[in-house]
Amino acid sequence: MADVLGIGTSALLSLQRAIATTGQNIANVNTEGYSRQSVEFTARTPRNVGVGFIGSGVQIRNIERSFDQFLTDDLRDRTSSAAGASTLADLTGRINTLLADSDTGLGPVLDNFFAAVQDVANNPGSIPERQVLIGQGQVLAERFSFLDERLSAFDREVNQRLTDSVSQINALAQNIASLNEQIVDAKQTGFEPNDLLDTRDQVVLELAELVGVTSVEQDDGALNIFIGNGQSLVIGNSASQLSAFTDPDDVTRVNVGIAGVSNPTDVGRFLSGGELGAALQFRNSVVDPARAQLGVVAVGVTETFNAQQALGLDLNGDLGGDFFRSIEPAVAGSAQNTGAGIITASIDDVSQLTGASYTISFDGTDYTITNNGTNASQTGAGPNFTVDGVGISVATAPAAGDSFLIEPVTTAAGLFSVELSDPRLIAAASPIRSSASIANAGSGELGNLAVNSTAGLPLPGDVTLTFNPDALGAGIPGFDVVGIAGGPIAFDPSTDSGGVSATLGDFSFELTGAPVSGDSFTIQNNLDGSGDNRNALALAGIQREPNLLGGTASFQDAYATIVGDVAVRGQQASSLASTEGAFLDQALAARNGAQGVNLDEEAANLLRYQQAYSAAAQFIAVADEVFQVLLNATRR
Amino acid sequence: MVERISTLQIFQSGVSTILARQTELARTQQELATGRSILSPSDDPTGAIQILDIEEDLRQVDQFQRNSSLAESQLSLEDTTLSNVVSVLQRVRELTVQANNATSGPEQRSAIAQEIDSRLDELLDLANTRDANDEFIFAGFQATSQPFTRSGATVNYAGDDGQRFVQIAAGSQVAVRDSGSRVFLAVPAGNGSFDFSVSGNTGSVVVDSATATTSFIRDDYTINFIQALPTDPITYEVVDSSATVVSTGTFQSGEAITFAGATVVLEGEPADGDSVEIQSTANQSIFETVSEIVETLRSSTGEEANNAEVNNALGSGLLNLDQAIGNVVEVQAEIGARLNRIDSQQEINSEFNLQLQTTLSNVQDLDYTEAISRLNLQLVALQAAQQTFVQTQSLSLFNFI
Repeated sequence: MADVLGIGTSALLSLQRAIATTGQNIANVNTEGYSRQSVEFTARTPRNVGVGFIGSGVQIRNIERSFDQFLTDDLRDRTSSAAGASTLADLTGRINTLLADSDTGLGPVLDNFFAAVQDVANNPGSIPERQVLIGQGQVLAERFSFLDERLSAFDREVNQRLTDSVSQINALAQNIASLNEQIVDAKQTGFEPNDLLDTRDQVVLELAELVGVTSVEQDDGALNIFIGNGQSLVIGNSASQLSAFTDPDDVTRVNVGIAGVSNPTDVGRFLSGGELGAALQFRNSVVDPARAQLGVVAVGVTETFNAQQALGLDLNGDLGGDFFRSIEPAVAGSAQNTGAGIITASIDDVSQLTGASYTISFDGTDYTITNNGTNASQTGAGPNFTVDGVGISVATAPAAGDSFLIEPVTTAAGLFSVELSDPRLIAAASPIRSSASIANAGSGELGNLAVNSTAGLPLPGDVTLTFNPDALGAGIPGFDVVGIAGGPIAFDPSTDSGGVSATLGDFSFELTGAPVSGDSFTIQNNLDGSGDNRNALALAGIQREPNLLGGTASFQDAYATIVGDVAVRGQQASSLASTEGAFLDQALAARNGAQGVNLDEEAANLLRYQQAYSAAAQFIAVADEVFQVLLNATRR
Repeated sequence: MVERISTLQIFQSGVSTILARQTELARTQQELATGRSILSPSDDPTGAIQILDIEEDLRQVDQFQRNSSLAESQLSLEDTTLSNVVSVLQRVRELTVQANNATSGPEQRSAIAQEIDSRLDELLDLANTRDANDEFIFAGFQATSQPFTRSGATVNYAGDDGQRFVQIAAGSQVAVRDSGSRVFLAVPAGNGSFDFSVSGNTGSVVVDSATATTSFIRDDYTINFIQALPTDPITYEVVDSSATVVSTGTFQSGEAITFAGATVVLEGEPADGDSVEIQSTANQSIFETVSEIVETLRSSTGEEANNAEVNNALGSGLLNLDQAIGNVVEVQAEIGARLNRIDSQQEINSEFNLQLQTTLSNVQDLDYTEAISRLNLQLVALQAAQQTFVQTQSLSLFNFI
């Protein structure tokens, strides 16, 4: 009889646990990362009663959580990707509107500046127009520095994000390590600590939001976590610590390294995914290139405009000085350098500038210059190198092992400024002019007089070209030249009247028409040429000249390239963010489907257990009745 | 196995669907509010760059239009000034013709000389015209200093050959000024190839016309008249600067003498030993031409030989005046051509402007019809999402236990 009661009680106890588990599931219906638990019933060991085995009730073998390793891992990966993509989309979106907006972009002010140059060309002798040009130059400088400041603010934000992420990662790693310890202990009992496992999975998921991780579960139940290219973050119950440290080559930026090492190495470039990976990617692929390209435009405007200004003559009759302040490339020795080497750099050719930064390192005999973007390098004994239009010179040899970071244009936009303050110093005129003798009887003309260099200017005296039918020997016509070396110039009116280009000293010109013997032209210093606008027209022409990016892009084109690059990045980032968001939703649905709680299912289970419980209770009542019958029968 | 879905998932996906619909709706609402289809460059990178390019072009076209109207006003000023120069020169010409008349005596010529002299001052004032910016328009590059100054009979030019250009389109510049030397100084003298002068003659020979063909051989020539005896026919010989005889013949009044590409018609009776000098010409300034006429008129004495000399000099002066007028009119024609060019460029520019505006509108402006129907659709979708969310959330088996 006791067997019968035993069966009944085992059923009641087991079903109570099952109802409790259902209650637990219902209670955790809204708990993130909670896995549905279910009881596994099993029949207790039967007893041999001589005529066969008879059951002795039910027992709970295990309380199991619905868990799918594949779905959990997938969700973790998707979480990393989606968090990274959405962070990148958010950051890139903000930089996007900054660059292209007509209120904040460079385009309108660049156009206004060159419009002011045109106005000076239209009225070269007028001071107000010149004053406006200087004013527009300052507006341009303010816009450059505004954009540079906004971009470096993004850099600072990235620094802050890296620092924050690193401390969160460290806390989470610590958390995982201690959960590992508890789980390993709990597993000693032979049962799965379901809720602890859920908590750990959830913490790993939070970690994955910050940075892409991979995990390996040990036999004892501990979960080892790796980041980047296999750098261990958690091993068993011990966690490594990341650190956000200042880049020794560039004190304006923070890198991510492993803490507890005397010279932390940058592991940032190995990290991908998650908010940290996105911040690094944003810095490397959006902010840095945009800022460098903006610097290329700034240096381009400065150098090109100054070069043309130098070929002109200001209102005081002097050769033009710098309009914009010249921008020197930044050279910084690594904080780990041991020697006292000095490296200098200069901009040699703006059309070759790429915006890249370079590292020059010395091994004791040779210098290696590496493009930090493409990793292309050149090696030589020096001391002078030219790379992408940047001249690099070793002024004082450094110690072996020392390195220097050369940033030709990175900070250039912020340094862009107007040098000139006196409007009279704008070189609107050309330093020389030509005139035809009044006595010329032929139709010859000297035109397109252009100055190529000012080295030989002002001219020591007038240069006179006189047409002589026998200038180059009997019967060979041309111009005799007096006042400068380089003559005579061959010119045959019968074949050359369409035009002959000639160069004398630092200037070039074109001879056309049919001069007659004795016709002469004079080239002289342009004294009092306040009405001359030739150089102003040349300055205005710079606007559309393809002076940048290998001679393919005007300033505006180069700027549009930046806007385009960032826009494409932004488009990619936001489309990636929505794709990754959809993948994440799918992964979440799949995992929640397999592991999450469904209240209707629990309600059904509850009904099922409740009915079974009622039945078991009824069964005990029946057993009791049977027992009473036996008792009554024997009570005599 | 039946596919499961967790209760949390039902809730979350319901909420995120509503959020997604709301985001779309907000985007459309913002597009409608701004009237633009590109709110951020990343919406359409190609379009965004196109917008930057178009806006740059628009600003440039505006600048070119401003430059064009400036060029137009500068050229109009020059044109008006040159018209005045032409009418002064024509008045001088009339006066010269009048003075050249056989009935004009020395007193009359002197009075005419007086008037022409004052016309010379008027010419000088015109040559020193300034524009609104106080710049001398005929001074070349040295626009702030007065180009023409007169001292007595001579007028000096202090300017240069410089010519100012203005940009009226990308790669197209137009000259807005002409130097004083081009307008007033570099004027071919005589008939453009040679000029003539007569002095010290005792006869009455007068140059009636002098023309040159393109094959004129540039040199100085002298036509010498020879009449050994008064009964002999008058012969002539033409010698060049190296005393080589290039042509000889018998002189007939009114008959052409042709040599070295030049044709000269002489009238009157030359005396033995008279001569006519033919100089291949250089240029002569307008002021010099007018001054010479004044000098000639003032030198008039009324004697016959002097009359022939005066007539010859005035004849040469008239040729020079015609050249002067021709030169100024030629410059005016150039100005007219430039104004035409500016006009057509302005038309091209404004057409380009319109085209750019159209393209810009196509690229960045919103298609309202499409956007509003999209908005309606999205409103319906959001309402549907909200309603189904509430309905499905209220479903639970627990309601029936």
